[in-house]
Amino acid sequence: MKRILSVVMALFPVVLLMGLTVSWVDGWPTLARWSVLGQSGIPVQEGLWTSAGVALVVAAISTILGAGTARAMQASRWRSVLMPLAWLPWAVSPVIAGILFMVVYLRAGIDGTVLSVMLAHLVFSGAYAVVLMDGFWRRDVARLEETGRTLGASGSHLFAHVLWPAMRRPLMLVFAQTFLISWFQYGVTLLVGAGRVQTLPVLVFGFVGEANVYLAAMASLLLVIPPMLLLWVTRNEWTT
Amino acid sequence: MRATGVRLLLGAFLISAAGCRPPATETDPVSMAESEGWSAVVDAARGQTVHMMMWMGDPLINEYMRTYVTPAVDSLYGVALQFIPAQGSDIVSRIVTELEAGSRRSGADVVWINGESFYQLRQAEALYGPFTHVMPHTALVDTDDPYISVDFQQPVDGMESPWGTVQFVMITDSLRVPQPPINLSELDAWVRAHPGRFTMDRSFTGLTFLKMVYIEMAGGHDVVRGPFNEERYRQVSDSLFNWLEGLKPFLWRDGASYPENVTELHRLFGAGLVDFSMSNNDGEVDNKVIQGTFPESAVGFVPAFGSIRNTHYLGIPKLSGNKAAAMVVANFLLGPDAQIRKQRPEIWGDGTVLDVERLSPEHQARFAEAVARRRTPAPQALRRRAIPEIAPEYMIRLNEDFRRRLVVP
Amino acid sequence: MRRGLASVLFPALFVMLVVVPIVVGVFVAVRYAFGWASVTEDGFTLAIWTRVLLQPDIWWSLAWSAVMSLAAVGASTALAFAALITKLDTRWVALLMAVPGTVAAFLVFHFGGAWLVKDPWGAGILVAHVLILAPFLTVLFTQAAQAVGLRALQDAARMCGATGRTTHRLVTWPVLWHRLRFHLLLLGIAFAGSFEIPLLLGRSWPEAVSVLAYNRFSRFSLETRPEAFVIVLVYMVLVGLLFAMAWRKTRTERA
Repeated sequence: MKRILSVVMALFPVVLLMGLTVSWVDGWPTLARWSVLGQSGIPVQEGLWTSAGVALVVAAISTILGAGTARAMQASRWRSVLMPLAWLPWAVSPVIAGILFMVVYLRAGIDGTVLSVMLAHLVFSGAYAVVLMDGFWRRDVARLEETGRTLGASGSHLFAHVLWPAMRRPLMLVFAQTFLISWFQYGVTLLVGAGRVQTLPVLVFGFVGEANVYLAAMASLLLVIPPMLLLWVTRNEWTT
Repeated sequence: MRATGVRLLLGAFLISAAGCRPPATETDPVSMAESEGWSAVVDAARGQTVHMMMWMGDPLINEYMRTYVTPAVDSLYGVALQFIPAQGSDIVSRIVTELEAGSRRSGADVVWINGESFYQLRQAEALYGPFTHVMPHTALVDTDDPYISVDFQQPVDGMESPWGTVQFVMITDSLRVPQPPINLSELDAWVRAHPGRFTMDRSFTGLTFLKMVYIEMAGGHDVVRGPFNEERYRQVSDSLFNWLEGLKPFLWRDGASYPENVTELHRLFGAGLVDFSMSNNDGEVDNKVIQGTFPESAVGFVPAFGSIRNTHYLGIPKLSGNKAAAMVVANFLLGPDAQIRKQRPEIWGDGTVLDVERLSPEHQARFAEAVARRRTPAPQALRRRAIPEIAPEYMIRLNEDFRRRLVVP
Repeated sequence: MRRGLASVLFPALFVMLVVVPIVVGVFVAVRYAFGWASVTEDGFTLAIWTRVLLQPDIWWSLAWSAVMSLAAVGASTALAFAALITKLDTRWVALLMAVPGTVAAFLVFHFGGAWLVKDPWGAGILVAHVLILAPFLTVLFTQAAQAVGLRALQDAARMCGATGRTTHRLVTWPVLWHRLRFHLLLLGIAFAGSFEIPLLLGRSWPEAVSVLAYNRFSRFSLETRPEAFVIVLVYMVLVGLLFAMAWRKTRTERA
């Protein structure tokens, strides 16, 4: 019973969204409207690739940055300075950051480009990655490294046989989470992208503003289903 | 040191994914046209990309632009056209921010503007021009027409190219409201008798409505024309908002919330939640009935005291890097074919700025066809009750006072 | 050698990619707020500050944002707690984390009708926020419970004779709260800055802080643009203070 309730709760947004994209022909539901995805001039497909491209690059850079910075901070006296700085983006809501960054990027001549959107997303994802990796490192990995060194391992051997196996899982998790932060980002992208970089969230809102329910629902489904699949596939990583 | 090195590498890698904007270094197209003729501009435009910043809240307008205009300018002139969705105030904000930030090149090449956006962009000296005098299709426009040569009481001076002209109409459902109120006292009585069924939006259209009420309360357009008058504004706006405050409890949502923009208001009307909508475009009713947003019984009408007619324009930001192509696009949009198509209610229903008498007989005939519509009086009839726009400061002040006195509890 | 390079390189990159943009952004905001940057102002002026701070708008917006956030976090916490103690299958509930604010806002906007769209109490905003926060908190609570060995604590309580409800009141909740209060505060701050949900579903006034700043920046008059930056600075200072206080208080737990 509880299982059914959980499943229903989990899937009802998707069901609702699918329902919105359905058109009725002779009393039978069809998915005819989805054909619009193939047409040019309707930017939904582009939105998907843009979102994916940006999120992948942002996640990759964030993860590496997070891991490297967390490790560097462990033994460093700068940790007490750097850690609070990592929380700094939290104090700025994304859209407010968007307003500020927009002006900065205008000066640098890069606003309205995919690069500027990536840089803006990186601020939030990167900070988050540092915080997360710091937690992982201190709790799990630092001791392992220490033990490994004590037992005589060093350099690449240490890395390949001790650190990497331990880091793999946290790295994956950080990658997934930073990917989602970028994938779902709206306010920053809206402002920094200057209307030219159209990621899926920007498109969803655009369609809502146009009162185009079908396209808004379609873009929403494209936005929601990949993360849902990702979450399902990795479900054992973060639940009991 | 090392960090800088790596950062440069990273930067180089990322920039390749980016498309950094070099500064605008084009030859000035207006001087080019004046010395070498329009064809030189067309040649310079080939291969350029034009980013057009426009309101994209209407799917039919978007379709006109995407499926007709875009392929046409591509095949005729080799110009790639792309769109940036933005409302009037967003447009001003972005363009002015570019100037303030010392940007070397604008992200937009053509902007769809009128009235107060034009006013603010000129105030900030953000527009390129004058440029319309070298465009061939400008000859087809009656530049003496006060509704075209003057935008919100400011002379256009060739700083923006006219695109379409429309007149404000009230919209209602003839089945639900067989005898619509046609003046303020009738409207007042109706709203009080039907609480929760009337509202206005907080955007351009709602403010146009307020302006019309203002003009009527001030004693008509002849009293209000000319530059903004602070003292008269204070008196009249006081009466205006006192009236609205009295009406507030009878408005939709008890006057505590208002639709953000006209698209939302149309949605409410179409869903039967309110009995009136409004539009700055007199062709809107037929257009929306065809789209299925409005019921078949929707009609448009103009109040007895007239309604505001205004023209919308295309401007070119001073910092645009593709001015030649921008002018080519503006010229195309001004051409008879594009204007006729735009006027058809199933396409857009936007009135033309061209002087029909100056067109060929064939074009004239096609125009006559395109104008035919059923649910709103013909443009010629409406134009008789047209009132010109008033100075842009009115819009700005009314917006502020509307927020202060009606929205804030 | 490698360790040496990495220990300087990464922090430097981090500072450049994460910290510098924000610092520069604040610098920009200061320039606008004091009149140096906008086309409508002539140089240093405090007029924008007085204009903004003396109007009720910003204060009502801040208060409304705080209330909105408290309601969202409170309701989501309650739901997540309920999910935890009824042992709902988290793997399914967590799928809802795939629904972002944008989509939640759209769904509530479309299906919400008169009760949930621009309603005076912000019910629509609350529903949308809960839709995205409750699943996340459920997962968070479950992970925390596991990390802390909650099961064992609960069993111990029961062996001492506590009933289910007492156990939850005296053991489950305090343990979770103690472990997660900093997280909850951060979420509260994040949701006070919420943008797309109040933009679509919020009543016309007061506007949530992010919406207020955005409207001042983009709306009709050029004069209101610098005001947006004043609002941004005030917001950042307030949040920064809250954050600093919370950081000091919970410092020992995270050392």
